[in-house]
Amino acid sequence: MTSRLEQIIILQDLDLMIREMSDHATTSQLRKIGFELDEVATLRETRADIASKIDRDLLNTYDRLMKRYPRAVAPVRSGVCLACFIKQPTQLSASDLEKVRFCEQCKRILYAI
Amino acid sequence: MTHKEFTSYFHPEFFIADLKATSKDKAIEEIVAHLVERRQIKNGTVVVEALKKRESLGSTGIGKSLAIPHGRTTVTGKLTVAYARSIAGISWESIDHKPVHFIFLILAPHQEKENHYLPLLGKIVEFARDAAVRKRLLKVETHEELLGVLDGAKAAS
Repeated sequence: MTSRLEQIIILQDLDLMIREMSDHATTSQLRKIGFELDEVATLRETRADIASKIDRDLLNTYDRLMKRYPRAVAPVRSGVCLACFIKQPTQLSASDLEKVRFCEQCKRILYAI
Repeated sequence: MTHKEFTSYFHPEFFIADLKATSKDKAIEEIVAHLVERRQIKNGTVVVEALKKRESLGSTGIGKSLAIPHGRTTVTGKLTVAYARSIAGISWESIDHKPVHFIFLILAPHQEKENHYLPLLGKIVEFARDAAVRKRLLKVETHEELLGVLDGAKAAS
């Protein structure tokens, strides 16, 4: 079973894939390399399905952050948020996936890499 | 991207000489599990999801026994390449409907300083489309031999 944090990261990866695959320059390059690509409509349906399984408060927070920033979930390395480069007061563990933590400074959702 | 930069992405720990999986999904899962075991990524679940969703947009089996599953994900900090060979061959819904023997799995962070993700994809396709290279790849048993094929392809071009 996927945790709350995994669900939100899966959603972010999908949102960014939809964004990337909606970019004509990127898809042209991928097709030129040799990949066949369908329209992103099916990914949007998958997105709706994933979003429906995430609790409303967390999803609202995520959507708000995605409007404000290019990415809502920021990686953390050695306790530092790699989006705003602020050291976090508490250490994050990559295995601790049930707790959703937020950056003290930028308020993005954090994921330890 | 220079040849040196290109070969620097092939790490001995991310080399699988004989993939056991017999289906596309299982192959992706096996390679990702290999990367998790070697601590290159900490969360396999998220990566498998991203790669399978990318496959749903169009198979990354681009013909000539070659598949390049790829995607960007939040859970990796650096551009990563894993190479796996399937001796038996795997059905990958490829363009030419033929089984896949050579799999180059590529993971990239959403933001990378060097911007090597797409050039790396292009370089791998360019490299593996050469029939002589693929013939040599089938015999490759070690990472060193793989590097030898990469260097040989560079010398021949």
